[in-house]
Amino acid sequence: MTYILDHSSFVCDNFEDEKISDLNNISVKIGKLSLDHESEFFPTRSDQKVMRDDVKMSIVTAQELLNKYNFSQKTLSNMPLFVSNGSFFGNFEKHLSRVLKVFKDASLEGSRIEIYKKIYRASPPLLAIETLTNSNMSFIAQYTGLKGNNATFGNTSTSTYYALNQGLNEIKNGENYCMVSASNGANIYSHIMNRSTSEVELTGFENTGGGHIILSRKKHNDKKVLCKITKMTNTKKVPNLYDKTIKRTWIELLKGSKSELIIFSGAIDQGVNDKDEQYLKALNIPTISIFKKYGYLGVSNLIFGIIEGIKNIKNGVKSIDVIDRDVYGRESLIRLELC
Amino acid sequence: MLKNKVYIIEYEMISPIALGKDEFIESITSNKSAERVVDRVNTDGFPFKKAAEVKKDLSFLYENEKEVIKKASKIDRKLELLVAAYWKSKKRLEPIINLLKEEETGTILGIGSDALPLEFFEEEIKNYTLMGLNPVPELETYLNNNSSKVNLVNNPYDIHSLYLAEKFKAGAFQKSILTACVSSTQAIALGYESILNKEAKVVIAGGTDSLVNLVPLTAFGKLGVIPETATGTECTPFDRNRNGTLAGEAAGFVILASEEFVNQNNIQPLGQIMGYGNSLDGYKITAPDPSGISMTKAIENALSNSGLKSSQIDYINAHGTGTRHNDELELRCIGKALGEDAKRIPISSTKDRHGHAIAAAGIQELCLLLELMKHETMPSNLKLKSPCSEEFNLLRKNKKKKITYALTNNFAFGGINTVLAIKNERI
Repeated sequence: MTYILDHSSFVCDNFEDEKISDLNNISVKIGKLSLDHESEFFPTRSDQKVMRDDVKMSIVTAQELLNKYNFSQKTLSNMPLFVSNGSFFGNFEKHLSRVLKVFKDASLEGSRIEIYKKIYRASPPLLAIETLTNSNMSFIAQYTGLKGNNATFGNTSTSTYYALNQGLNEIKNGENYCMVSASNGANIYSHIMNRSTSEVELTGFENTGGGHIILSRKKHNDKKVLCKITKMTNTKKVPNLYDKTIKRTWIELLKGSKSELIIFSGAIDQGVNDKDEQYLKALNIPTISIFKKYGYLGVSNLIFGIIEGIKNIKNGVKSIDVIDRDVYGRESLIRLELC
Repeated sequence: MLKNKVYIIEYEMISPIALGKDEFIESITSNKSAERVVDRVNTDGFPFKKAAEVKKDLSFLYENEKEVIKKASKIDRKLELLVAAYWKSKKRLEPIINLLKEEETGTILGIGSDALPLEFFEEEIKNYTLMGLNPVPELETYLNNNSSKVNLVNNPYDIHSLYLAEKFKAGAFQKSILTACVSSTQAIALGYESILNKEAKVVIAGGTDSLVNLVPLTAFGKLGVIPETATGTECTPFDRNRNGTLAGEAAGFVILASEEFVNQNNIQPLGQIMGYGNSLDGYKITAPDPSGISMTKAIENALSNSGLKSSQIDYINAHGTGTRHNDELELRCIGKALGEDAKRIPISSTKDRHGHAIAAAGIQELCLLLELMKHETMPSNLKLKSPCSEEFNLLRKNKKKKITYALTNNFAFGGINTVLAIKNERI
């Protein structure tokens, strides 16, 4: 049996409208992260230079979580770490403003050698590290000492289902603990990436947030677990890349469920979320929408769904289904139960 | 308890030295190197001119593909390489595809960082900027306006594993691994695990990546990991004078199958994944841990997880990037993990031939290894002149020799170490 020992998280509560296209009049509401510079766990100045903001807060909250437990160095160095990550090119303009300026200033009839010399000079020296797709995982390892089996999955919301499933396999195969982390950086590029997969014109609401969950094999006497994970399942169908219609089939995953609450996520805008809510009404089970509370959290949807589930278990709910749908229509279910 | 076996039953590869797996061995035995002046990016003003690029136009391979995939492939090189690898093998793989069940088949691919090829859109960027608009979001919004879920640019990374899932009817899962230079190595390792954990009976595992794009090429150049040819040096893994790697590109996949699937369908396996080791340095984002503790652990774990002894290993395909940081440390860790046997085992890096394909490095080197096993050949370190260590059997010439068991190493930026142990099943 796999238990959840503890969790930590961060999320934005400050939102701004960002313009995506003036020509097409498209904008998106995006969560802006407040950084906890005062935290004793805030990364060093030199590391901050190559970190996205969501990674900085991921490092703070990972250390806060692990420091609550006196894990030995040996336990930490063997503990597996599975991460899911959202968008990696947070701010194209920031990284490549000087390169874009070369294009703007370049006379296309001018000397190609001169233009490309300027482009090379204008390219930031640390770009490869700033956009490293495993940056969150590698920094968590650096700051916490986790050095075991690992992978970074990306980058739709289903990635967290895969990361968590990998964590459960580790526990099943004999590991005592495993950390599963997710970090989503919302920005105009994540929205451009997601919006064209949608069946409707979106009024997007995307958020930055992330979190960590420690899985545990046993119920420890000295460490009280929060709940157990009794089921994980997903749709076993090939998604259709050429049809944007959302086909809601959550009810198939929920067949036979005796859960008292459903926590759902997947929508990128209010209209889609309303339709999801309407669809789930047929089950006559209370529901909570992660979108309604936080906006679209991408890879962090499921982490926040689980954290919401744990809150409800603390309030006496015995069994909860946390469900999600990614932008390609892949659906997943994680069942949490009181223990 | 005896572990179930996970076999490799097929594989395919598009590489700068081989347009399909069958071309690998001729390239190796004729000591071909793909290091050439880059065509797709104008490097005239750069301090280096060369990379390992797939030179041939690949579109003839996938001319019967859907229009939107063809259009996206023209812009996204990673997608194009993968699409080409699939179409290259399509006919040959049909009998296997017909055996697959949707709910029992999964895909898992290692994918490289995405970057808009700015060089294709110079004029558009200039025009949008002169109109006072933010050029890249305007351009991407314009390009992605189509009726399918396939964007022409800036797709979720999952598009690649979903593309193969459609071709192989793989419904169980479609995973993407994003761990830089070990991405596809981890994809193969986790594909193997998902069969052992009964998540699937067949997994298509591999990866795709290309550094031959303006943004990644300049990014790696500025990071100082690509040698500047002006200084007269090239990518020379394990050489005392090495000073950088050869930027590359590749895509490929292996078809992994459970013992049950292989037996039920009377398939002759080509190789077996015996096990793997996977660890994190937790040291620094920019450099590997100089103590090599975690790198050594990954090699040791690959052996213990496979139930192999170091004395059984016939060959090591090293990560051997040709960078100052990697090569000497890798040899030291091989030495620590394998003890006295490390001095005997032939070791070579093939990156001076096909380049460093980053997220596709692992799959390129595994496909190559399977061909080496088939043809009983061990490749030399092609450009090695002055070895950085005399203690190891760094191959100086191609050798005809049977390989039964081999290790293939990959290590990534940010300190991730993944090692696969492979058995030749053609013997």
